[in-house]
Amino acid sequence: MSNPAAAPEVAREAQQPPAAAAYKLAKVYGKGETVVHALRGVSVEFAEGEFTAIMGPSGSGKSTLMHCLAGLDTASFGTAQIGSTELTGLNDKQMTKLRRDLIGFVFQSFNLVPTLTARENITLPLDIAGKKVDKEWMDAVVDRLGLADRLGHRPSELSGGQVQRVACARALVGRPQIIFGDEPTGNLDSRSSAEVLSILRATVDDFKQTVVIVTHDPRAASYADRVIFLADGQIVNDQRGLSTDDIYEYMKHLDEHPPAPVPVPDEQD
Amino acid sequence: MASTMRKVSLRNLAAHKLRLILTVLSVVLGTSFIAGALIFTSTMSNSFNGIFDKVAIGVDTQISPKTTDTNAYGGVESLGVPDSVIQQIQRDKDKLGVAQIVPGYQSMMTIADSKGKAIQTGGAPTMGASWVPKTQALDPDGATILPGGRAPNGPHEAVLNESAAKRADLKVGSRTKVVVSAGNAKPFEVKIVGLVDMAGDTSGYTEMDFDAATAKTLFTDGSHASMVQLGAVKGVSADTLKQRINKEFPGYKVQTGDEVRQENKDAINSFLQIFNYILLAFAAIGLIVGTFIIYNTFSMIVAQRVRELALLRAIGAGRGQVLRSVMLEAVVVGLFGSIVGLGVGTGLAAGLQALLSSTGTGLPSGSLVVGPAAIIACLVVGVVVTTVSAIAPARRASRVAPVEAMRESQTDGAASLKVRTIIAIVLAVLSAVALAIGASGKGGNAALMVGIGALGTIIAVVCGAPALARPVVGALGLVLAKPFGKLGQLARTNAIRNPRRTAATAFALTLGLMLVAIIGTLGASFKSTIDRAVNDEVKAPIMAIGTGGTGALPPAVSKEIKKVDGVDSVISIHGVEGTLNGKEVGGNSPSGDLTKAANIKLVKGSSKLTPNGLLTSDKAAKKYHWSVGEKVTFTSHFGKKATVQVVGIYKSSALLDPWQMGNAAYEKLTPPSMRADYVDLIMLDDGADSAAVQQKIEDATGSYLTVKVQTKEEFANSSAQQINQMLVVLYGMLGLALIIAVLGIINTLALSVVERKREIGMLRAVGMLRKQVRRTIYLESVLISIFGALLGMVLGVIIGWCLVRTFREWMAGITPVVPWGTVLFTLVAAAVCGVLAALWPGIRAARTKPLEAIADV
Repeated sequence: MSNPAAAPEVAREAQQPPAAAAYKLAKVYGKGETVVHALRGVSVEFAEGEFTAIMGPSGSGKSTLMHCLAGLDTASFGTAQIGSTELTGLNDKQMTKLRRDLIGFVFQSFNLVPTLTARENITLPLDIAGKKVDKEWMDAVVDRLGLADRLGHRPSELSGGQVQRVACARALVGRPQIIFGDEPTGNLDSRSSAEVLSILRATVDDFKQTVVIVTHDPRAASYADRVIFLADGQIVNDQRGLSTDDIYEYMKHLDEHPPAPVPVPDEQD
Repeated sequence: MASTMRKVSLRNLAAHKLRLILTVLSVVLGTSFIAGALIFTSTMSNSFNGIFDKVAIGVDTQISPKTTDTNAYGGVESLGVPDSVIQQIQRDKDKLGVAQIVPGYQSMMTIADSKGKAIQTGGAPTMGASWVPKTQALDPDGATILPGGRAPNGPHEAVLNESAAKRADLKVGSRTKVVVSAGNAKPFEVKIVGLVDMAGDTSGYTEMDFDAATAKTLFTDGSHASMVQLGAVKGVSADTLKQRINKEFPGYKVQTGDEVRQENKDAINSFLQIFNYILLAFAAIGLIVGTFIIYNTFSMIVAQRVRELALLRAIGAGRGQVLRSVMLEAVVVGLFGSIVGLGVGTGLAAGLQALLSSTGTGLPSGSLVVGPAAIIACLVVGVVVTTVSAIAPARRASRVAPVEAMRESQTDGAASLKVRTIIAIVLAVLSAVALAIGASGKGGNAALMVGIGALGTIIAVVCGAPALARPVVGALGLVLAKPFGKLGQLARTNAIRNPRRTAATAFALTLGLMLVAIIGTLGASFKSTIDRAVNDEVKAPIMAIGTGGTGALPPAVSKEIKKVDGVDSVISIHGVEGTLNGKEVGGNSPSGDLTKAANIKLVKGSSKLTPNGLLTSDKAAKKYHWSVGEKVTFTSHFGKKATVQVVGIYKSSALLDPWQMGNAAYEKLTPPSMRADYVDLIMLDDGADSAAVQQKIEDATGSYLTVKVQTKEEFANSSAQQINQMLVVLYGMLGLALIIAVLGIINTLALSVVERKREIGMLRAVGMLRKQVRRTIYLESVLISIFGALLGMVLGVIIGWCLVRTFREWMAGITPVVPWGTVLFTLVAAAVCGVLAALWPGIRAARTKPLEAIADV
């Protein structure tokens, strides 16, 4: 129902197709009196090799947007695509394979299987897919993330920051089209946060990886090249090169003047 | 707060209906067998009692010999009550207060049905007896000839009880063949002149009555009565008459009519008791295993509710309140399960009754008796077992700290296994010692020792299985899950994640299959021993055995066989019964040269049995301290003595134990009316066609109705088949154990899946396909199942092996044989059950949405 041409507000900088994109994406929960519009026709593209942070207050729809883009949830209207693959109409099996082959995930918590070692967790998606692990690439990633001496440990023997770094390594080792982070530093202290964010930053800079994170922490967002602000299911701002202070300032402004008085779902961010 | 806590408990049950059903089901399985057993036996004994209440009416006193049991080979151990006693009572009639004297003559016999085959009685006896005309009968209504018939008169007329006539398709006017089991009687033809409606006519019981004179010659030696029933004159009570008779004839069994009836009832009840024991054994398995399932379920429920319980604690619920709340859940589950179990058990009893009466045994079909004993036992056991299994989890629940409500809950039961494992090791060592002691001995005490060892082993398994689970399941996983790569590894690590839970889940299989392995080992060992004994010890190519109620062959059969063309000689093995130094003993006496038909491994002396000689096995020789040349005196049950000299000692064998007596001595001890053969060993002429001769022997002995002619191999096989039939119970246990195990695994996996929802969601998010999730759960289930089955099989075979060793006391040369076929089949069956049990939890797990990993529970 929609195509890139019909979305002029999306900035198209490069000739290259975007790593991920959403066009007029809408998500509606419930019906009748209790209907809730989590997303109200969001269109956005994420360029290859860019670090994007999606921000917004609780219930703004930022998590829903990421879930729909990442094939974890299905949109009510509009389309989402990863690379050149359109997500609409994919069945569960195709969707699962898409997540497995094209997307890397870093969640806020419960990232790792507790019974497997760090190494086994890192190669888990590749093992499930029955793919060979690229030994050199694995070593490079593990080295870069400083996990070389933690590989034999179980998640319960790792610190919070180390767990998230293992999750990053798992996301990277399959060389996905895009990595999604859902509040990846939400459970970490500031030092560990900085550690994980600089790793994500480095994967973009060093490995040309595309990264999109959802966060409500301005400091986390400041590591990104581009910050998208959501409120009431709509994009209200989309800027590059913002500092932590800029983001604080904008957020404060957002809180003081909520753009639309529409009820929003009680979301888990 | 109390009512609030109750509300929380009850709502919690209602909110998880499926979990409730699974838990209730495990209670139902155990309690239904208890209820079924009790209802079935009380129904049966009630119907039988009703029938036996009509027996021996009008009898004030009955005189019978002290032992009336038929011996193993069909002979009656006593000749009965001599005519002299009857005459004396007749003389002293007035002094004793006797109004009526009715002597009875009876013995076991075989009767042909309309097709010429022996009437099937389904285990009930077929008796020949004397007909007492109504005018002489103590109870004129006890037996009535139905219209169209008349009383028997003369040696070729008889009357038959109505239900037997119906089964045999015989009518008034029919002619049929009959054979008296023991003695020298030959088959003869009788005419049915009447059908009798008699008291006690039930369950396949068959009775053919002749006139008193005929019965006396047919069934006794001609100078005895089987028993004498007396009616007292007015004014003399049954007890008084009994006391008087007892004083006069102290050597006999003297009973009142009531006592006779009670004896009949007791006999049938002790037969019914066997059913009761089997059903109660099933109930025990069901309950013990059910206990673990219930324990497991409550443990997991509590683990999952930690935050909820902590919240209740935080807002002020006391520890006692939390404890009571969980216990209340258990009581409700137990009560509900027991009530359903009672219903299912009633159905079970009804089904069993229908099944047994449809198999032609014609058991009485009284209405079901659901007595208070069944109801109380069922409810009490159900509730007690459930609450006891819930105590530990409930205590754990009450210890939940209020701060847990705020924390990410840690659901792994990580408490130390150290104490349990130490107890298990100590018990295992002690049990191993008990088993070793038992296995090195033989006989009853050794078997008891093995039993103690087995019990200790079971407790050791209960304590030690969690510690075993990690290494064993881990090793199994490495082998079995290897081909499945990462999925296999996940299944393997999941299966050992909570060893306590894995062990409790697997225990259903362990216990059930342990019993299967024990019985399987016994069966296989018996079979191979019989096979070997027949092959090694029997030279005769063809054997004849009896298939009648007594399993004996009338002696006349061997004479018929001798006449058959191609038969060189027949060696009959007679049964010998008597006493030795006041103790009852039994042995054999071969009619000819035993060495011709059997291999005797002589240890000492000569194998040539003289007419007054005794060949003994080394075992019997040792037991009685006999040596070659020694003289031994046997006494028959009616006072005749025979002294024999030990001529040789042979190596103990399954077929020839314990001793073989010379023929002259045998005849001295056993009057003609009591002679019966255990087996006829048939030697053929050189070059005779075995199959053709076998056919000819069958034709020649067909009129005896109960003679089975078999080759040596057929004999070994049919003995093995009898053992197979006994093993049917084994398959019942296997089935029950598997059903309960499946329920337990379903329960555990279903709850585990709920527990691991976030982890599964995360795996789905990073790309695990639904079918991969399912496969992981199946594999986990198979690993748990095989762990349980393996443990049960290994222990069962070891215990069975030890038990078989103790049987050397009773069965010479028995050596333990491991039933590899059964073991393999059982392991495969366990694996299949594992997959079946995992189907539904697997599907549930696969439905987990990836978002559930991110969502906050």
